[in-house]
Amino acid sequence: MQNSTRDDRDMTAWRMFALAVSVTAGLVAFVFFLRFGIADGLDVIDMLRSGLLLVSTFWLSWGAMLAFVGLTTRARAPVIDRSAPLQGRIAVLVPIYEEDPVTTFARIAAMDMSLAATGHGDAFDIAILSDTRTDVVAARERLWYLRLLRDSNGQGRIFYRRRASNTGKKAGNVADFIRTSGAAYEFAIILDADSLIEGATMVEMTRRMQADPDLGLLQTLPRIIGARSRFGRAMQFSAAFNSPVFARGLAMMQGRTGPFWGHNAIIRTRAFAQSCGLPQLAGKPPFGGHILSHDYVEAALLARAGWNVRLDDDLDGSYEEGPENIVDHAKRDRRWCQGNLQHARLVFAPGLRGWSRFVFVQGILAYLASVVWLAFLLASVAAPVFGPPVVYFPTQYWPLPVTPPDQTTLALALVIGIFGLLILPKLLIGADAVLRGRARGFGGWWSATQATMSELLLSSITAPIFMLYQTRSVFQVLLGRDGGWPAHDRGDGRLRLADAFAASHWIVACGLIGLTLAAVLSPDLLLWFLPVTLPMVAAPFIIAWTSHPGAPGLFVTPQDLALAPVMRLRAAVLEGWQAGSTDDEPELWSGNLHYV
Amino acid sequence: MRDMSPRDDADIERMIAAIGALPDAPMVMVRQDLEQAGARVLHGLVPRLLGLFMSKAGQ
Repeated sequence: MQNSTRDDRDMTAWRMFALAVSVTAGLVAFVFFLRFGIADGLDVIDMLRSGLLLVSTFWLSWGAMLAFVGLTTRARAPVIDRSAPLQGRIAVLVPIYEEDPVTTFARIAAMDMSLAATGHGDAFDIAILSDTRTDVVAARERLWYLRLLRDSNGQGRIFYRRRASNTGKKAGNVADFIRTSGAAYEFAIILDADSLIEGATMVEMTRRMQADPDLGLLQTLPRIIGARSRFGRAMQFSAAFNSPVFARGLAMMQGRTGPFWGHNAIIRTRAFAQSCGLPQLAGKPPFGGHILSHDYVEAALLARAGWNVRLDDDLDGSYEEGPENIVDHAKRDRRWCQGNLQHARLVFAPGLRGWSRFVFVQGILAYLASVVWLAFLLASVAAPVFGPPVVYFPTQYWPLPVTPPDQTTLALALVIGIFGLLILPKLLIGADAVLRGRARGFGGWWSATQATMSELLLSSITAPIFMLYQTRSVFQVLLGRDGGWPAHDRGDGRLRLADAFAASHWIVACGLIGLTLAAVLSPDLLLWFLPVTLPMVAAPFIIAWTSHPGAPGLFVTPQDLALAPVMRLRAAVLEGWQAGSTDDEPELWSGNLHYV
Repeated sequence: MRDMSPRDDADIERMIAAIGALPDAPMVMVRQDLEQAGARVLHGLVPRLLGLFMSKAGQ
């Protein structure tokens, strides 16, 4: 009890500190920019730009604070009795929707083997919850389910059901399982189709739930695996290298009102059933209908009912796959954007904890931030129209803008501050990894440093492209366009230039318009707009190039150096299945399965 | 052991439904109240954009 009180005090202190720093940073940027802007007289556009910069800087600073808190605190594994037997049964839920059954079920086979190796496999059942609509894919699922049962001797442990109607999408799928079979299980581990978790990790997750009867949900930090493209591997590296630090900060700040990311987490079935029956929201999608980003809401509802929701970032052995190219990432982001903006309706839902409401606001800001940045850039291009002309570059070869002397210093300080908020967290994480020896898992200090710098470069180049994709998503949602529920593309993700152009020609147009406007309206500031507009103009090349494999030695992660045991198992199963079978294999229908 | 040679899709589907059937152990999912009383649907870009900041988006 004393420990939890101390944890709560720490959490409150960190929250207040991070909020205070972020608000201060936003206000400082606001005042600096206002002073810079009024050099030629205060006008509406200066006020607008200062306000937009306030919001953007607050948001950047909030992200930087997560890293700062993550770097200055350490995860503490809970003290629990690991020799005690597991109580109750645990269901491992694998919701699937139009997935390739071969690769998906190979993961299930690997996790089943990994669980068996812990000696606790008997406590776990696996439930494949299909929401697949396409009959052809469903037929393949049935075939490969039989193969899975035969190879794992899993009848009575590994279940498969396909819903007649996919009402409520993934949340509805899981709720349907609980309504049908929830009472048979004390806990349920919720996965995605591309999730992979070590058996030992699932056992540890269960033990931690057992040890804390108030814990309603425990979230792990999944590492991205299996990436092949430049973009995918950069994300994979960042997820392995940077995300643990950000997640540590998040865990510290969220405390008992932790996050749920929809998968690679364990729930207390009873708590979930009592607290997380999601209603349909009044009206039509995108704001009405089923709750899309259900995980955030479920975490908030568990907390509302008095259950603890915790992110244990010290738990290893939790994996997922990520998008291989920018277009797939943008498609997924479109779905998340719609879900997060829908949360605007829930910010003042009755009884929620204050922090849960703040988490909803953060989720909304994550997408509005792009709109705010774009508005700031557009306002800056247009600013000269609203004020008297200013000579920013009186000297021919001096690349930085010169305003009256004191204002130039101010502008430079502002630019350095904002870039600092952008890149400093990752540089500090890199330095911390080198000093503490964590970089050894990433191929050594030089390899980790190369990867950090390359990832920073790549994320800087792709940032303007994502800014436009996110801005478009926000406006699509606000205009009432439902993004639907597209199936995930889990192929190798390579894009031809023509495909990349088809997905980004409007970004090229925006870049060209931006360049033209800057050249006409603010020629002195053209150089400053190039880092934003050039990647837009080159978007098809960037998208296509990053979708292809890069240098094999770059973006090394621990899983490149030594495959995790469950990944080895999965590779072995997949190799056997892909080498020896086809979907028409008739022998599958003559096994030792009992038709009851 | 039953003969499980290839058969028509409906038969296979029934067979899988039986083999893969989940345990019959129902649990009630309690429907939660999340809507604000008197919520109404907003139409159009500007009302929705304003609604985002006033937490009434789409209502």
